[in-house]
Amino acid sequence: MTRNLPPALDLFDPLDRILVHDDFNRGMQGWSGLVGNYEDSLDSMLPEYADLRDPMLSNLTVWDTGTDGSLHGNYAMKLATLPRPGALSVAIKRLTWRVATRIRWESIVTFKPEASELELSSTDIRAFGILLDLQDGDRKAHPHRVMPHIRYLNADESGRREQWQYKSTHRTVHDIGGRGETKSHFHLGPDGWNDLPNGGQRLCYNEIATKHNWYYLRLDFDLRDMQFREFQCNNRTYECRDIEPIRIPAMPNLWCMLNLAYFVETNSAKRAFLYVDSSLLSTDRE
Amino acid sequence: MRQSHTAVVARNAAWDGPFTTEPWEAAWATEAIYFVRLLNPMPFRVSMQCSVDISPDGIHWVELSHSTFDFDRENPLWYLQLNHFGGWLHLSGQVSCAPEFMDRMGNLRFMAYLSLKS
Repeated sequence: MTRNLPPALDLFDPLDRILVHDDFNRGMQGWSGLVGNYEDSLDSMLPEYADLRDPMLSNLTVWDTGTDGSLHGNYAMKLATLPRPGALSVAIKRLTWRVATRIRWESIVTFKPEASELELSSTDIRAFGILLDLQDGDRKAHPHRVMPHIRYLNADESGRREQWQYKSTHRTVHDIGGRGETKSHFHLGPDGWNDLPNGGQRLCYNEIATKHNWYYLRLDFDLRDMQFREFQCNNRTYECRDIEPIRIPAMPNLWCMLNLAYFVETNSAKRAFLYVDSSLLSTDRE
Repeated sequence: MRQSHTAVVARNAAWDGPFTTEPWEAAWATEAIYFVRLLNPMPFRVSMQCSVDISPDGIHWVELSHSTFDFDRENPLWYLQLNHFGGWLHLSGQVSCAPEFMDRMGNLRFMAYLSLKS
């Protein structure tokens, strides 16, 4: 089918109904930081959530060539970690779903470490990834909260990895505070990641820390059975029907939740940056 | 309509001496305010010497402005207005109090916000 779309939309391949097209030249558009759940005091949140860094608008300025800009304009959303190994930055957008159908989430992203040294630095970023945070509708029998996670493990303490991974297991869900109303679990830790079958993929790092090449990501997930379908990064498509997302019993106030999130983790004492040029969420038309 | 954004640059931060917030990109904005709020004011005065730095690249920094805030129960929230700051901002400084209250400094918790407008 030939579609007559502007370039910023035509680089995506959406399903029939476009729910959200976020081009960060128009601002943050509902993307914000992730805060851990708390009750009475911020001190009550799980410690892993305390130092997550929030997203900002960036024009991709670097010290040696100035402003790169984004793919179709000046601004992208930037996730920046603290300069400490294992530090994370997360950006989240919160919706709810109307009809349990297939959903497709496409993104244009790039990642780089802070260019604070004149070195290749290609293993300074540990990982970047995407996740959905979903819950069944309130009329469903045996409802679940489901959290599909996919990350690109670029490198770890042992060196270069270049491997797509998913997560099926979760840590203990803790009660927060003393009233029994708030729960929390940390799902972005280094534990529980499994390699995606045939999920090794080498990307275009491009030689130095100040060159940005954009990548295409696509995740297809089905809200009817809460299962993965496919994941794509550039020229590689991964069949994901046989991998399991994190599944936990439904929580009392998250019905029909549809959250999208990006994250990035540093592998060194250097800030890791994930830039998102644009994001598009589409569904089948019911 | 003008763009605006409030960033939380420090959340529940336990500042009891020198501190610095992370760099924040603000190239799209023409005006900014740093707000600093002491979440749990104490029955003694807490002083904060602040410096706002600017940068061409987010790596190398030079001072744009500085100020001193005195927090107490009547004044838990302070601000610093900025303009003409280029592409990057960060806030750094030093928290102190009278010597007899030093042992309670570790209980202090701060929020810092950067409110930006195009």
